[in-house]
Amino acid sequence: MNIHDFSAWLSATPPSQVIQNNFWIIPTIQSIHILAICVVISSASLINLRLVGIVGRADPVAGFASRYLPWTWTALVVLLLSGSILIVGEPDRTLGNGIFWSKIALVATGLILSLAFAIPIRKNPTFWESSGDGVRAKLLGAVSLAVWIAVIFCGRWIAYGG
Amino acid sequence: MDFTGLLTALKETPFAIALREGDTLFPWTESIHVLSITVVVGMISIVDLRLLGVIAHKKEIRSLMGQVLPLTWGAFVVALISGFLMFSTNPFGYVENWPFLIKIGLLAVAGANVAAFHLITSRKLHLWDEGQPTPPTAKLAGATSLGLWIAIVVFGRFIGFTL
Repeated sequence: MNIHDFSAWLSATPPSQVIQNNFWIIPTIQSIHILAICVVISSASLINLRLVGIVGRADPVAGFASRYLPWTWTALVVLLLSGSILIVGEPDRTLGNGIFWSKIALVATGLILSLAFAIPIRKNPTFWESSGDGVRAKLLGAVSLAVWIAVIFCGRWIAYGG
Repeated sequence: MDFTGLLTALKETPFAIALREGDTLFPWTESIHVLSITVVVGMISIVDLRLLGVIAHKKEIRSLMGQVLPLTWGAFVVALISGFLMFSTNPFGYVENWPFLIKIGLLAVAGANVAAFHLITSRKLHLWDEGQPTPPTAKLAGATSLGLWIAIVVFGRFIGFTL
């Protein structure tokens, strides 16, 4: 079974049919999806801009982590759940779309980078301040920021991609 | 020039034509609009939740606003410009689109809410900046803002399905 057969099968299932036959479900779930992205991008950006050194340099990194990281995790769960509903509702638009898979790869990368930030700080709250010349922290912040921005761009481009 | 004339002129501006006729200019503008809106809404909700006493409870409000609001304003300007560019491609379609009209109305209310907070409520901010529960007026401002911005995102998304 290839991806197109799978989309066709998924598209014929009752849950997918319910979504397809109710005009308001897709925009409503998309709205929830975007609101979750609002939380991810803002919480992740504040942490990443702190790592880069643009925001709140007088505050410890651990303070940013404890304020914002729980919101990143929670919003990522909402993002994955709402995204799954959107896949069920429009299998071909998503699973058969190269841009969709780029987005998935980028989300996975963003998740790994968030873990790379979060894990060391659990053992040592000043890890990111005290690690050498701070290049690692700046690099992680900048790359992670770029990844989440790219996720948003890919998300919008799914509508145009093939 | 009347309203119809204004919209017609807008529709025929070089940038409106370029966006309408270009292959990828419109989706790029949309992407920038979505990015800037997510930053605006996400950042504002951090302040809203602080005013409600939910997030960052120990963080001084003025310091938090200093970290969050410059980004919010920067992103808001980008959202406004990218939104205006999208509007220019099809002004007559947008002015007849009810989710768009509701969104603009809600934006105006959100603006009034921000103005009321900065001009009135925040005058005594030094009394509850840190370690104190926020007063009911601040909680009201936070709850109003949060509700408005969520609605703005929802109506914004519905524009694409009804235009």
